[in-house]
Amino acid sequence: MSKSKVTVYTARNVRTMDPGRPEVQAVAVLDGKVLSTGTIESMQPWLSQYDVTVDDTFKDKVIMPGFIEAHSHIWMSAGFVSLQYIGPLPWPGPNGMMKPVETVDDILALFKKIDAEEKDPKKPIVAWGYDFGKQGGPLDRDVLDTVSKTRPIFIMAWAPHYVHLNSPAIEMTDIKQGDTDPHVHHYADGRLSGVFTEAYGIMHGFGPVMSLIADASGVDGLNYFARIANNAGVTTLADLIFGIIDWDAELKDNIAATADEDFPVRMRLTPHGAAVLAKHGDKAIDVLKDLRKNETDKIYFRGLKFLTDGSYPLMSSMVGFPGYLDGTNGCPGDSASLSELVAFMLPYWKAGEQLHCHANGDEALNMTLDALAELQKVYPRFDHRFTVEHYSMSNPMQARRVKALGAIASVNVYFIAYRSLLHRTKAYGPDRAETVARVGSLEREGVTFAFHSDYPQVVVPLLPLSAVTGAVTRIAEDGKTVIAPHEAIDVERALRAITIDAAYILGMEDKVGSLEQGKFADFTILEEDPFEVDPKHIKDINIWGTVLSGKLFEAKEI
Amino acid sequence: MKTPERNSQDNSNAVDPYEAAEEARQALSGMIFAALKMRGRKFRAAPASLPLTIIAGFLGAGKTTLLNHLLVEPHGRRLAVLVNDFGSINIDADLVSSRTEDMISLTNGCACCAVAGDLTETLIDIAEREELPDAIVLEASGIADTQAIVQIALTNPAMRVEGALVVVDAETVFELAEDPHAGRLFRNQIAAADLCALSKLDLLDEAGRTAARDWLATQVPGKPVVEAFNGAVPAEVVLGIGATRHAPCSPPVSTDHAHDFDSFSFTVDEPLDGERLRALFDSLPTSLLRAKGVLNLTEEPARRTVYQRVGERWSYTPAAPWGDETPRSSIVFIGPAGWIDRSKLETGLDACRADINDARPTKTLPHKER
Repeated sequence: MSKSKVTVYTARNVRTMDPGRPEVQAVAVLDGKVLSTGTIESMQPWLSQYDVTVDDTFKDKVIMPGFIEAHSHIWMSAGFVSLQYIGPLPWPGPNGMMKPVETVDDILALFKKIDAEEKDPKKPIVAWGYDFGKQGGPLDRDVLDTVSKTRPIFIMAWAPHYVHLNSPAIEMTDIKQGDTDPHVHHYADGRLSGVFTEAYGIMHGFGPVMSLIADASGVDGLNYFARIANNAGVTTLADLIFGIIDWDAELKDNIAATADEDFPVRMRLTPHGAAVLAKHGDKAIDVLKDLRKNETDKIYFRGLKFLTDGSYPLMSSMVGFPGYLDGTNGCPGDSASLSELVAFMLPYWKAGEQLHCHANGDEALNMTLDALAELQKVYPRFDHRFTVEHYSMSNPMQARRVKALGAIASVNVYFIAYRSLLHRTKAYGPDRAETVARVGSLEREGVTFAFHSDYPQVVVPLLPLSAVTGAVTRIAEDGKTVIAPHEAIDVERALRAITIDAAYILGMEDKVGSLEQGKFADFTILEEDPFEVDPKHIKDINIWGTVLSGKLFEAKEI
Repeated sequence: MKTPERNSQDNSNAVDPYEAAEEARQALSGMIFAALKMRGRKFRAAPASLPLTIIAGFLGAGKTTLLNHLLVEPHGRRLAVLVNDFGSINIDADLVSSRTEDMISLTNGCACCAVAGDLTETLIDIAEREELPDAIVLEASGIADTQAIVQIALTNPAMRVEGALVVVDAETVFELAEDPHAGRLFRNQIAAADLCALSKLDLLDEAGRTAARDWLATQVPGKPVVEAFNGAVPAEVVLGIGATRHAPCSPPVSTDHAHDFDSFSFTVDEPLDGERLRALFDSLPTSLLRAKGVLNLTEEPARRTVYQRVGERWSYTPAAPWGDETPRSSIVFIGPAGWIDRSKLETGLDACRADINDARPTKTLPHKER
């Protein structure tokens, strides 16, 4: 009988994130799982049992456990992320933060390149982000026709009050020359100028591509999104609201995408608790059990999502005294009353499910923790992993209460580097803005936490290494201000939050998150060691790509 | 070219780019979600058959007062009024026929529903109902961007947006416009609306009223303004004229505040010249609030052409063939009291008759007042 095959990956260094054996030089992989870690010499008792290949691809690189994105939105966002970005500011795109497109001429040059490279002559270019004020103009029908008179071009402006179309795109709309609506613009000679404004203009002008964008959310969209994750070094992606738009389609597409052996990530999908309850009532738990019959090594259906307030960047978080700068406040999530929220959670809680509760503001966090206290009173549980999602604004005693109730947290630390200065004067004021994402307090109280981006539902990149830089340096968006330095944590703890502690938050710590015997051989391959570079530059470390169950996925520009 | 006015609100107020990015992402994303939800759905309601009116305005501007009024006013239409918060809707118990957690049904056939977070789903539900409403009125939350709501609503093929009305509190207009946080949204809401309803004028002295009117006139020149006392704006102005399936062009119902408005109805038996009529419609005073007509145009002799106007926005839409009915044009115009001389309208319309070649009135317009 021939021996099973083992591949040993050697590296400049391997950061296992197992504190018992934190640094090794090689990882041996058997059947997609970690067989052993150490040096080739130290593994000999294992290697002598197998048919061994040594793979030196990573000999000058650093192997880490595959990064985990603990909270993102995938199926429903794939259409949005697939739009061609042409904006005047850095934007979180498929290859991390994208460079701004400076002028209208640069936009036209980009379109000409796309037009030349795209083989299907009828495939429209659908772009967004044009800003007349910053990039100049005009960008109307005649100008766009210089790119192509046959390939439709649809542009949504940065502030989505304008759309700009070329001739073939106008042909696809139901707008006719002479339309008297003031949002339909004409040239002096009476021809449509291709510029349409406000709701009427946008719905009619962009209408023809809306269904194309929606269609981009299927398996193709998931593949596209997985490539974004691959470029960021992510091997496990959590989608924190599954099935809310179209349960059946989302299920079918996610199963189909993950069944492909070239799909480079594991998916962990979380349905919306209140929606499942509203639709299935008493049968909600059975629905979850049925859902889990679809699980494979690459797709998991775990946890239930709840919400207690609105969005942090859209300024609808619920905060306590004294409210927002303008005297208003945010909006509630699933429910405005605690008793109703508890009623949504209780059936799942009693069934032993893990609950994830979105709370951006401190008032929402109070409600979340009050709900957990109520659940614990009715039906006490240990190791329940009730997770506060986002944990954007909080105070230190709330961190203590999180601990006391046995909860854990998934924190959007990206807000440190992308929003903290902005909100000093917008909505939340300096006190709350500067203490955004208090992971230092969580660490002091002994709470386990993960980092997440919420990409692309907030304007931050999906790039776990940039979350690490943010949490360690607490440098705000101006690149120099350090906000609430005592809420910073060290590199090791921050890396745990994108690997083993994130795995724990997702209930997958037995499978992923560290390089230990028996876990999936999921690696992130880095060109530099995050423990060795200046923490400011961790975000800039080059990512070669990933390995999933021993299969190599080199990052490719999208 | 007729360059679109670059949003004054885009450049005049310093907007943080990250904030603008977030708004842009949100608006686009909302449209895409709505499109995703709509995929493969079949509706009982025909395409573009449900007229939708959006009522925007800041918190405390007087939206609820206006809605309360609309719900109980005897306009003879079955309205579905969608609100964010039931608590503030105050309807006389005698008029309520039933009440559930998220819907109040009125004896007059109207219903007031709470929008539980998801507008797309709510609109899908309405379009799937057995008893379709004559019109839908949607209260935009005080902080919502009207534009984003209209875009989401229009993703539903059954919806036809009749217009957006913004309620502006005359007392707080200056304060809000200058507010560093709310100012931009406030101005955007006004810019996105077809009509402005200036509320709470009764709380100001004459100088205050004039100042509020002047501010609007400079901010959004040409945008028609209705002055609303105690929320009283006629249904025809808020909803558009004749938004019922049963009476395609019903005359305005007279109400106690009808004296604040002048409405004129005409019928013309002779075919009208579409181009001359177009010129007339373009030349009407911008204070005209609403107009609707079923027209018999020389260029479309076989079928009806529907003329609709809200604020400055108007359109011709081809409609059903005349069939056995004798083709004739009927038009209704509504504006604030004194917006135009009836005789001017008469003369203008007369000149559009196709049988009058020199475009000057030669005989009295055979109209009848309804």
